[in-house]
Amino acid sequence: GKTRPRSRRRAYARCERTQSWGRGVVTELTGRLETDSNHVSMKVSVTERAYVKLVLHSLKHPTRDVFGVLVGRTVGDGDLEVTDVLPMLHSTISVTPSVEIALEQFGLHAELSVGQHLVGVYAANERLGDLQLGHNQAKVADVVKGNAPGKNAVVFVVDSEKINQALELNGGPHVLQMLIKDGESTKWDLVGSQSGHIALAGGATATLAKMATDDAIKKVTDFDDHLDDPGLDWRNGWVEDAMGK
Amino acid sequence: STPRLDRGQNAPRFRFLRADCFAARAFRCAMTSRPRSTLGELNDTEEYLESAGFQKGDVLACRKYLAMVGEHLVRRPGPVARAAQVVLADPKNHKLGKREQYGAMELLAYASLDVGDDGTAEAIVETLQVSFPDSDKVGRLRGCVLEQRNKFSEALALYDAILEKHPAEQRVWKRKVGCYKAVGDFDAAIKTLTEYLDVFMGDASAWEELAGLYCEKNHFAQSIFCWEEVICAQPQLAKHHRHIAEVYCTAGGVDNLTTARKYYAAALDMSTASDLRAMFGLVLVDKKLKDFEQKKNGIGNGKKSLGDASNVAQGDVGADLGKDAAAFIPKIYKVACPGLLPVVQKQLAMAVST
Repeated sequence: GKTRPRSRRRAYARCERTQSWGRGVVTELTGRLETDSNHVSMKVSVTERAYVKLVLHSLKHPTRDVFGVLVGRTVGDGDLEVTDVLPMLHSTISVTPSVEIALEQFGLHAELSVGQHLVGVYAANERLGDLQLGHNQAKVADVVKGNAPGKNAVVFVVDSEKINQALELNGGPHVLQMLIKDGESTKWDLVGSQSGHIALAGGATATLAKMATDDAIKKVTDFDDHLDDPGLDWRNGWVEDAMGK
Repeated sequence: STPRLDRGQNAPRFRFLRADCFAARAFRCAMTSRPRSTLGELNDTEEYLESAGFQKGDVLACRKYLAMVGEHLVRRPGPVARAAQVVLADPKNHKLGKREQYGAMELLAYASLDVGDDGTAEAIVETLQVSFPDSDKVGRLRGCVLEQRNKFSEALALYDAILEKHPAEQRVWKRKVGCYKAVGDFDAAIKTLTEYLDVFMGDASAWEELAGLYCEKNHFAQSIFCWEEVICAQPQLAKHHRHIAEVYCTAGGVDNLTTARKYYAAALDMSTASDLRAMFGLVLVDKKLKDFEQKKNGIGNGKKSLGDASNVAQGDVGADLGKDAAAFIPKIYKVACPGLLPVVQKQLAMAVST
């Protein structure tokens, strides 16, 4: 209609006092306008092969910390698309030489092969129920975030308690927890549904349930394995072929 | 009752040993020249079992596999559980002898805990508890079952009780450390491991574990002390030198980086130029030192020197190693993984040029 609802008018009135509007979410109930653009909900879409590679890597080392990097690009305004995943380590992340070399190579690979960037990291922790990032892992995540375009990055943590369900025949819900780091905060926080959500490619969970065989789990290799035996390829190109069949 | 040490030291003398006494068998094992198995043999047996052996129910291969697993102490829960089940289900298993049967049961219990099969593990524990009521091995197994059920404080109480009776039980000490790690209490884990190492200071793997725990907390000086103990115990292994180089490299600062370069060079030398991590490490150290030069920090940059940097000669010792490594790495990739060659070449070009 011609007249605006009262709540929105109040919201606009309050905003006149601020210098910049940013992009905000108007909540009709309270009439508050959040001008801080960091509170916009971030949507991260994850492709099938990224999800499969990620979970296969964490299944390969069930008793150790597992770490890897997300490759993708920004789409739209602040949303991310994760197209691929590069497994990095299954050993301790507290000694940095392998990490530094891996990050350089992964970044170059992402640019040279598909023209994308490193948009985040993933971790699967040693202990069941541990859904936080360790402080060494958080430091690496900060480095990736600092180098990502628009400083837009996300962290996935694998929730091991959900893996059993996820490997059922029709595929259960996905096993990833998402963490983001707002501009002001110093910690990577678990997101609620308002701050962000993961949009997994349809059929990804079913594909994972089909592909998580002992052979596939043995075949996944990461940068650690590659350093032990240079013949092993951390790009894991065989996953796409196996998925296509 | 007098405390009984676990290693058969109170066994009767050689002349009066019975044929199936464990100490006699061990003595004879040590005295004969029968070669022990290699890890390759173990992997081959496992491959055979996975492909054909389990379907056939090949008991002999399963027994051999379990013996090799006990010797190398690898953690392969899937195959071990199946092999142990085959051995125990064999109708002729009375010929095995009690020792091998109970050994298979113990391996099956640990493997099923790893796989998540709590029911089997608990059933085995109950059976063993009946036969060996006061045993430390069974106590350890009971503690593991408690840990599996997330009852860590009860498990710790049980381990403490065992250690009161038999304070020399190394594996129970290690299970205590594992408990603290599982709960996330790294300080307690470090304290317990330090107490253990005060007594059993020859245990190189425990020193390695303590080095890892210190590194997690970023206490690099202590971590390097532990790695030095490991190197003293096993100086011929290149990977220990590489690990200590990595810690020095992580600690940072000109002195530590120069020491890291020395250790990387030693690792490369000992592995006859096959250690890719050492080569990349040399390139990385070179790059970091060049960064320091460019910032014109002549003496150091305030980071404490963790090792004895005084025996590093003035001037650049091994300054060319980074360049040599950067020239050698592409040769490895050309043969091993040509698909990754462009990425590696670009990375090395960036590292050498900055």
